[in-house]
Amino acid sequence: MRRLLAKQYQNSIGSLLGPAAALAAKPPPDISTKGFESIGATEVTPSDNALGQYEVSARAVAEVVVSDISQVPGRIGCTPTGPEDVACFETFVRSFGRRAFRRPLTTDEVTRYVNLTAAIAARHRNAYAGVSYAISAFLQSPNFLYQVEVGERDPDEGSRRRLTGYEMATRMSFFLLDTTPDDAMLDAAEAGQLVAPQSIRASAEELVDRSEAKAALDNFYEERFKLRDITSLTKDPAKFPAFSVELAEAMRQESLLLLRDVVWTNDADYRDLFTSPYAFVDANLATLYGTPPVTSGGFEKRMLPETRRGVFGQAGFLSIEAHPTSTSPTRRGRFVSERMLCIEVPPPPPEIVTELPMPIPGMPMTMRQRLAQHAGFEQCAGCHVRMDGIGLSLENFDAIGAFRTNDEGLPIDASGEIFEVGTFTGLTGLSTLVRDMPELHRCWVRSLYRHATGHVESEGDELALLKVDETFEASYRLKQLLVEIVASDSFRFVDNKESN
Amino acid sequence: MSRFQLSRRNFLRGVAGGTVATIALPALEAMFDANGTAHSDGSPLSHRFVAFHFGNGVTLSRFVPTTEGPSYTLTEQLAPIVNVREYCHVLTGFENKHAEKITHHEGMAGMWSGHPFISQGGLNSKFGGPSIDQVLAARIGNKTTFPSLEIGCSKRVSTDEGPTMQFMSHKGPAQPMPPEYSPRAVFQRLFSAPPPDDPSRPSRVDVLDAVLEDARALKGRIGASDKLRLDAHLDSVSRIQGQINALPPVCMVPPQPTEQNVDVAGREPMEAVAKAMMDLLVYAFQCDLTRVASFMLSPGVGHSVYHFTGSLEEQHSLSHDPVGSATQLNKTIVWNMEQFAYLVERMKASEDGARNLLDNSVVLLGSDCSEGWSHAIDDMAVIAAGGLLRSPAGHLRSKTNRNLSDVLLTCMHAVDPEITEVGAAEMRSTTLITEIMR
Repeated sequence: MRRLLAKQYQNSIGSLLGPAAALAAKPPPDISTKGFESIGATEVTPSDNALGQYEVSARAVAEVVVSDISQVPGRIGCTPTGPEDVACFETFVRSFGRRAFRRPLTTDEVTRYVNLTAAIAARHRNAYAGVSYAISAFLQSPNFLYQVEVGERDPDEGSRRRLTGYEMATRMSFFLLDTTPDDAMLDAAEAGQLVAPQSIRASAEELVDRSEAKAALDNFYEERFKLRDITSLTKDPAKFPAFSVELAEAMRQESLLLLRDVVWTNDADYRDLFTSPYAFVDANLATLYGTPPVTSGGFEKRMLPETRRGVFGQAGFLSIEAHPTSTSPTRRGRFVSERMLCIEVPPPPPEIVTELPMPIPGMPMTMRQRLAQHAGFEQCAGCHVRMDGIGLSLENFDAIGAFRTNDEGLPIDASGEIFEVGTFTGLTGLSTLVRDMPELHRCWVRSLYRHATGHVESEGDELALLKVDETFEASYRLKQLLVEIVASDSFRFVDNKESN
Repeated sequence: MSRFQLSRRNFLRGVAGGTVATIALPALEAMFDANGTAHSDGSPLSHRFVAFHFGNGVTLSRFVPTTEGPSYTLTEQLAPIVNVREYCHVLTGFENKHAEKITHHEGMAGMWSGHPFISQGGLNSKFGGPSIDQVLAARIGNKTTFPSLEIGCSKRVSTDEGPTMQFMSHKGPAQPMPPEYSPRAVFQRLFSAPPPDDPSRPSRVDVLDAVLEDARALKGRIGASDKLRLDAHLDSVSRIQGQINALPPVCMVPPQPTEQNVDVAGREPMEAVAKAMMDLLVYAFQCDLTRVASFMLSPGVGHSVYHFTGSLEEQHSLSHDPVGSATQLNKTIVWNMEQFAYLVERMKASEDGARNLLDNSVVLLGSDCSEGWSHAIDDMAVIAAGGLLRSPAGHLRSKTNRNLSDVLLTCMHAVDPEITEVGAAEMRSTTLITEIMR
């Protein structure tokens, strides 16, 4: 049972009740566990306060819906003649309920919601009040707030339970589009078309061509790259006068524009993300990067200077994984290792002093020299080489991602190392090495899988995921990877959840 | 002098007109016995508890007094408590006994729950058991409209290390209690119950009845672990119903705060938020809307920047540099202590029956490590304040690395004497610190 993510909740309300209703929807914030909000949505039980927020949100949405009565019949499927129009209430409950719960209502549920609508309509002497409160009830029901996956017996499989057609429609739609399945998908489920692997694949191929698929991949990417919080970054204005909330927001958009260009516009090899020689920049970013200027007020494609390439050269990543006053090779390296390569860095040993020597006035030190302390202590070195080795290769980029050749007036040595993989120099060395690492591709597969299913893959999933790896590493197309994950054997069955 | 006696039950009946409803009552003087130490119907006074967290520890050399007892000399980082020192037990030398150490996580888990965290790989974990505020909320929270209140001030929390570092309050491993960061939102939650004759009340309750029916029907279809989650969901929905049904508090409702904790030019309004939140918390206690609160001033690790102290470095980074950043780090720690002192002073200045609010409370101040640069947890800097503990208070230093959970237990026991144990494994405690008990 997995709770809808905040974005999915808002999008679903938009699909069900229109854009004004979606704007009124204010769900509680997502909680990330094991590095994924969707795993948090599986593991974390909402607090009283969170459910209170759903209550407030559901009423606000419902009020927006009935605020313009002329719009109501279109949303509920009939025009009530008065507070006693039970036939209309039943039409509304059956049709809206099917969309909200992503399956037909049971007889008990129809009775419960029709009675609720009628009782409140009578109390307020107003049919629309009944409809309004009933909508708020649908939107607070666990049948709406959670993806419920009970499954059914699969005649071809002894032990595993396959998802029902409705459950598959729901899982696919939330993964690929971040929203509730539409009527056509529910109809396909009802007709039994979302059970056989071939028809599931065909349906996924249709869904990834919808515009919502782009926004859904953006959401995943923003979470992986921590881009959502970028406008709350603090940078020392004395050292980085160019930094502003507007520049941070431009960094976020730049990252998404390259993703969209590679994945959707060109359907290109996704490894190009890491070595792209061009970027989409606005006027401020053009100045920061030293590209030909942009005067249009928006974002334009520009070739980058030779020193800057791909996502590890993007100011967003470089700023987020840095301190307000200085770079952090450790943070940058940890990000690449853990988030891009799925190589976990062990936690620091206890009770060690983590102080780095500060440059003494008149005796400047580069970040590399300061970090050399990590390498000097055996207990630190084992792990720090896995982070600092990567991050130090990016020292040519300061805490807001501007290119530099000196640190504290001393020349920068940008040599780097990926532990047990190889050595290289600078951003381009890192990017060309990483783009061909099998760990990178497998990490994307597993990250998308965790995001899609809300759990860390179990041993039972591994065989199916190895097949996905194989297909992905034959084409390197992210759009195709989305389809392969949905069509994989591990996506069609009720999860064997890990403990903890 | 004869006192007018008003029983709580008659008062309730008078206000609620005989309908079944919960109501938040201020502690009116007339409802107490002649000594002001119990209600006139014999029921004990309401006890309050606050868990108050600040991130990344102190500087022990600037915090720990050199002598013990009530007449110790206030140190640089203890100076802010000068006006309430008789209420503040400064406890040093207590050891958080958490065996597994990955930095900060063991500090959070030991300081606020006494249960070892559950590792989720690398630098990622969740609480292994309930935090002490939630243990108390489960026992005394049912007497008020809100079983507990979770408040946060700085929003720059580490969100990628699991629930342990993100939240201080947890009902259990699967149910962290996220705080409210906006004073306006706290106000609206506490003080916005609709008037008793508002027709929206019964309709909102009916809606939640339907939701509860849905949840009960769903329980028959799902597996065991999902059932547990749905049970917790059901409980919460029932409590929301109770909150909708609660009558507006019979006490002075404070003005609605304008502060919503929105960044200004990329900077957090931490000062204004902290003050507004502490004022609201005092009102919530005075109106008896809740008796238990957790207050996370700043997170362990995190990205909080105390720009108002003159530094734009992250407080966590300052705490890793006790030499180069000593002056700036000290300013941030003193500011943390000033906030704690403000809350304790406000509680002392607030009437609560014949005594003051602080007399009926315990406020426990703690952090996720003793000092940021070492991440040590063997000599924690803790203050347990409030009149439910011995008076006058002083400095007590353990020379034998006593269990930090003894402090947790003693504070909980002072609020609810039936609590006699806390925590688990190496951190479990059944030992009270008699030196600070009343």
